[in-house]
Amino acid sequence: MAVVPTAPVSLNVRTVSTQEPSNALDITDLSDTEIEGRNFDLSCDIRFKLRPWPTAVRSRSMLAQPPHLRFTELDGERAGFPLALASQLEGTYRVSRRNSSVDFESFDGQRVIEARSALHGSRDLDAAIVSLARVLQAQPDLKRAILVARTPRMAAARLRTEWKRTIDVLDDRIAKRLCLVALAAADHPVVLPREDDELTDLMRLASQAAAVDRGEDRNDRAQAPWSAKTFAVWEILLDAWLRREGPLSMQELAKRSRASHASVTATLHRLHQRGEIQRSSSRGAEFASTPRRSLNEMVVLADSFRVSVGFVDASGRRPDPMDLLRRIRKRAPEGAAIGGVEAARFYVPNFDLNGLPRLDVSVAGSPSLKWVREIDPALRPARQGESSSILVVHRIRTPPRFDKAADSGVPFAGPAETLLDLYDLRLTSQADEFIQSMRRAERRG
Amino acid sequence: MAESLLDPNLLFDLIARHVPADLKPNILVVGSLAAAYHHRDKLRLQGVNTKDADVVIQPAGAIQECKTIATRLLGEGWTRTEVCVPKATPDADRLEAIRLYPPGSRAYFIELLGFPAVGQTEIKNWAPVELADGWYGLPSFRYLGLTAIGRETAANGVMYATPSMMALSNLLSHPEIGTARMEGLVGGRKLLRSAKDLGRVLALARLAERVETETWAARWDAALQATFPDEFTTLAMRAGDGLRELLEDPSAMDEARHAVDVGLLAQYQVTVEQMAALADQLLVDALDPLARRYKTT
Repeated sequence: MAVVPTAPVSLNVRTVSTQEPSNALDITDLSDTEIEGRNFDLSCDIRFKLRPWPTAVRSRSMLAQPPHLRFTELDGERAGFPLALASQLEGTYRVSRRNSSVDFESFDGQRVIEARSALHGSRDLDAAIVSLARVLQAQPDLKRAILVARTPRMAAARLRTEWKRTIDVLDDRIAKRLCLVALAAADHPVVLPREDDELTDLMRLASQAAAVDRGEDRNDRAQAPWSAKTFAVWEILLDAWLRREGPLSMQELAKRSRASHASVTATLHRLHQRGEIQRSSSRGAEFASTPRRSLNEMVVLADSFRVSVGFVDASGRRPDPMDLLRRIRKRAPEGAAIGGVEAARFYVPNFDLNGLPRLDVSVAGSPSLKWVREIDPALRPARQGESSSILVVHRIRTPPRFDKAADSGVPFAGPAETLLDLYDLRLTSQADEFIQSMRRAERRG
Repeated sequence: MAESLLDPNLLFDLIARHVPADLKPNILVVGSLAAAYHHRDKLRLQGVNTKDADVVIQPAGAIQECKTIATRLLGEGWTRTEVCVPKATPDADRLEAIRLYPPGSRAYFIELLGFPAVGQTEIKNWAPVELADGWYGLPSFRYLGLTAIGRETAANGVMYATPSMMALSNLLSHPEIGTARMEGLVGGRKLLRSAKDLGRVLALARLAERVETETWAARWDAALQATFPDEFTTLAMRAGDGLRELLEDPSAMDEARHAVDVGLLAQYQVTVEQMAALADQLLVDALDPLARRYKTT
C-alpha cells in the first residue's frame, strides 16, 4: 500500500481482508490540523471505525488486487447506523471487547453480529463474509455469525447472487452458520439464507436503526454527531452528576471541558431532546437520571474518544494485575491516574468484585507510552484478537479531575472515567451498582 | 544419556537414602535437579527431564574429600556409569568425570564436581583424582562457589543450591555467547553451551515470582563481595553482558528456548518472544540494579 504522508502517521485500523497487512498505520495521535490539507494517497478503500475523519483525505480503490487494508469509516454521521443498532440490540447483545473481530456478541455467547454502515460492492461483501467466516472457524461453538449491513448501491437481487456465490465456496460447516440481514438499495430488506424468527426480528431492529440514522426518529432531531468536544462535555456532566455536585452552569461546563460555548449548547440541546438533562432555575444543567441512552452510545464510542491502548504481558507469566499496580504506584508518570476496578473500590468501598481483572490507567493528553515498558519491559500493545489485556491506558483529552489517594500516591481517575472503564470491562451489573452507590453517597470523599 | 521425566522429590529421597548420612554435609546438589526440587510445587505435573544429579563436593579444593567420597560410595555398591572410564595417567588427554549410579539402580546418577579453590581464574578447571582403578577428573567451575551461599536443606538433609545463586553462576560463566557447544545433544540438538546455561537462567527467573527476582540484586551483591572480594565490582557490572548479547542473537535465543523447552519449562511451551520478555524483566529487576550499585557515571 502506497502512502505519502509528510510525517510519520498511524491509523487505528481493523483488518478485515484476507491478507494480513505488512504494516499498519495509526493516525490516532495526529491532530486535525496535522491531517487537514494533507493528501493521503491510499491504494485501498478506507473505512474508519468510530472516528471522525476529516474530509481532506482522499482515497482510491484498488482495482486489480484485493484491498490490503480496510477501515470502517464511521465518523460522527456515518457511525449512526451501528450506534443506533447498539441501542436496538440492548438486552440481547453486548458490544464486543476491544480488538475483537466482531461488533456485538449475544449474552449467551452463541451469536455474533458484524454491523456495517455501507457495503458498496461485491468486494466489500466478500471481505465481510470472509471476516465472519474466520470468526466461525476460530470459534466452532458459535451457532451464528450475522452480517447486518446496508448496501445502498446493491440491488436486492444482486446482493442475493453475490452472497450465494461467496458462501458456496466456503466449507459447509461454516457456510451454514453465516447469515445476512441487509437493507439493499432503496432499503429493500434481504434476509439470507432464509427468514426465521431471529433474523426477522433482527431485520426489524436494523430497519429501526436505519430510520434513526436517517434522522427519521422525531426524538433525534438534534443529530449533530458526537465529537471529542461534545463527548468531553457529556463526560463532565456525568462526572458532576456521579459526584452529586448539582447543576453546572454553561460557563463551568465550558471551563471544565475546554469546549466552546457552541459545543456545550449543542450537547445540552441534544441531551435535552432525549429527556436526559434537567435545567435549574439558575440555568445550570445536570442529568435528570441515569443517562442510559447516551451512556449506551458512549460505551461504544469511548474507545475512540479516550484513545485506549491495551497491553499484554509477553513473558508468558500468569497475569498479575496486583503486582503491576504495585509497580505503577512506584513509577507512574506525571498526569496518570488509576481507574477501573481499583478506582471503583476507592469510591465505593464495598464494590462487589473479587480480585483485579486488569489495571486501567488514565493519562491526560497524548503523551508517549514509553513509561509502560519502563514499568514492565514485558508489556507490549495487544494485537488483533488478543482480548486479555493486563493493562489498558486511556489517553483522555479533557482536563482530568483526578482524586487524590489517601497516601498521596498516584491519584484515582474521576468517577465518570471509572464508570466507562467498568463498562469496557463488561462489568455491567457492577457498573450499574457503581452508579447507584455514587448517587446514594455510599462512597468515600 | 536417555532422558525421562523423574519426580524431583523422589530423586532427592533416593539420594538421601543412597548417600551415607555422614557424607551428606559434603555434598550440594546443583543444576536442573536442584531447580526442579526448589520449584517442585509449580512443576509437580512435569517432573525433571534429567537423570543427571550434579553434586558438588564441599569444601573448596577438596580433592582428598572427593577421593574419599568416591571410594566410599564405590565400596557401598555405587557403580560407574558407562562413560566413567579411568585413565592410566593423570595427564591423559581427557580425564572422565566421576559419574556413579546408586546401588542396585540406574534411575539416576551423580556427577561429582569440585568447588573452585580460592584464586581459581579458569572458567573451568580439571583436577586429576586417583581412585583405585585409575585417574579421573574433578571439574570445578570458577563461579560454582557462589552456589554454596544461601544453600537450602531439604527435609531429608540433602543440601541444594538456590535458584538465585545458580542463576548468577551461569550469568557470570557466560559474559558472551561464544561458540563452544555442548558435547551431547539436548532434545536432539547440539546447543551452544552459553544458550543452554543462559536459558536456564531465564527458566529460573520465570519460575520465581517477580517479587523474588527483585531481591536477587541484593543477594548477588552480598555473594559477590563474599566470594570475590577483589573483583566483585567488575563482576557486578558485567553480570548481564551475556544476557544482553543473547537478546541480540535470534539464533542463540532460539537455542536457549529449546533448552528450556525440553528442560525446566517443558510444561509451559515458551516462545522466543516470551524468553526475550523474561530477559528484559530480569535485566530491569536484578541485573541493572546490581550494576547501578557500582556504576560511577
